[in-house]
Amino acid sequence: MTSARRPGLGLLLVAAALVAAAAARIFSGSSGFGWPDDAIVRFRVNALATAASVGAALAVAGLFLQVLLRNALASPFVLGLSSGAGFGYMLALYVAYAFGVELRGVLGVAAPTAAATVGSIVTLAIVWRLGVRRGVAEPLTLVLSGVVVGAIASAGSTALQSLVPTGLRGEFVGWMTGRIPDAPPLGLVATVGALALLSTAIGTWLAPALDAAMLSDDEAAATGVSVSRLRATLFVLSGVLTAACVALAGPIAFVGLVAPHAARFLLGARHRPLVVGSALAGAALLVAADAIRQAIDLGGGRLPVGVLTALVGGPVFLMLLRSRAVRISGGMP
Amino acid sequence: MSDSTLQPSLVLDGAAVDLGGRRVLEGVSATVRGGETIAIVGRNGAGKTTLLRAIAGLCPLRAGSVRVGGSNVETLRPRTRATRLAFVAQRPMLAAAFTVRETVSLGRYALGGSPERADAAVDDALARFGLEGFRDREYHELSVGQQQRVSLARAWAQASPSTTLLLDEPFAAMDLGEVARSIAVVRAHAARGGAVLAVLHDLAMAHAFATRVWVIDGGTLAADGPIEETLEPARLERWFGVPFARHPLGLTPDLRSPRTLREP
Repeated sequence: MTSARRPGLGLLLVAAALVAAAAARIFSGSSGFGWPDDAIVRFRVNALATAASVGAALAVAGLFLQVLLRNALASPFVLGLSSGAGFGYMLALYVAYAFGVELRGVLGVAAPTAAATVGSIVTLAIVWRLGVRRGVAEPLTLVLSGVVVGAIASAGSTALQSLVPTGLRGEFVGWMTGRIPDAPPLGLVATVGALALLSTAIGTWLAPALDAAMLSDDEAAATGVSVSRLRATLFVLSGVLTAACVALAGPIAFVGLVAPHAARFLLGARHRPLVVGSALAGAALLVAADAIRQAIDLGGGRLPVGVLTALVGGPVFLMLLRSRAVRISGGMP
Repeated sequence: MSDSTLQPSLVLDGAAVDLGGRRVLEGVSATVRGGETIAIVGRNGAGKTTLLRAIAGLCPLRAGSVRVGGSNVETLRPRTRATRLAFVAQRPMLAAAFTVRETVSLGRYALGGSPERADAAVDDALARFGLEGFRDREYHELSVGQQQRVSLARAWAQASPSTTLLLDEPFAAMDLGEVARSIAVVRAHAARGGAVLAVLHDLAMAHAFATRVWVIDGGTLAADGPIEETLEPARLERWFGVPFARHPLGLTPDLRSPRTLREP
């Protein structure tokens, strides 16, 4: 795949995909295809805003992680950040329950979200320690570290589930598959949306540095990049983005992996169009998945959207594992 | 630029580096002026790469100092440093599917100026290293020798006439023609006033490239002088641990011929 000569066309294509997915999400539902009545519109617009914000935020987080680790397989889910954030989130809920503190209003959203942020950044720090030697990530060591650390965090979350009463447990289980909530806390939706926009803007501004960071640390620094500052920026942004998404929608798999690759396929490898393209592609993917899931009824109600993204994203991950994208990244000799 | 001839490009004063708690470079002092070509030779593990990284400001000094154009390299902002020094690492690495042209243009990161000027600098660099035919090819489709030419072209796109080039085994995977043309181009950089330092293993290559040689032995600068006088068999045997003899087949590409820079 050579780099696209005209990224404008590719961006238009991704934007059109997002518009189409959004229309599908608004017009289709259990009541069939058509303009729904007002109460349902509000419900669907909230779901649309949630899916678009989470999709864009996960995609930008995935792209930043791929740059940070020079690894085509990196994403919030694969590296265990989502699970780490999930564990932090659940731990906050559990501690509140155990001490009989009722988390209400803004605190009810902010406290677990803050705990999720700590969880995702600590996970990233651990995976970094395990998988990166002298600034060079060993692709498979890194991914395996992420999978194992993620599994440990998930086990922690499962253990917490068994410590809480049935009502809260149901909430835990539904949340752990990754879903667009029926009644999303709008403040958190706005926060995730704002974070996605801000990160897209920062990423676009930093695009030349992101390009140069594709060289080795030494060569990137010698071309003038402040490598440690760039690394810290990407570290914090991807950790915060992941945590906010997880607090809102649970650990949704593979959007952060697939969206940047879809954008690369259409736009080429340069980061100036790629950051915006990834955000749009992520939003389009998750909104589309949420629209599709409305159309599938297996008898026991609609599937959580996380199931759909895993069904599509898993095979894409396996294809990437076999492709040259992995050989290019990670600095293998 | 005239100031590059007045002021030394590089001044090393007792530079020392520790890696992993071990002293790998000790008390290196030297002065380099614009227009000099210096071959850095020595055994594997002697500290050649560390010396080059220390000069480039890429690893902290334990003692001593490196001054680049009068300023301490460790306190220079990366962008400013990039206008005075360009660096090519031993093993090319690129974690993205960039084209050759996109890869060379990474050298322009720290340099402002109009897009037209940047394009012209990139095109000039591609032309000098014979890469015009590869400009839209993907970097990873090239041979390692061609990738090394791309790295050199990137450094060239970054360099102004007074910039010091720091090259770590830049010709190691090239064929003889690529080596000869690349050496001729980096010597042209010296001719326009910039200094060029290159770590090299092949002494014939060092002779073709440099007028001055640094021998690194056990982390110290064991010798620093004109290449003809410094590299003589008895001392070489001491540094490398094997006997040396002048090769009867003293054939090397002729760098003084105008045909060297002609396209193959």
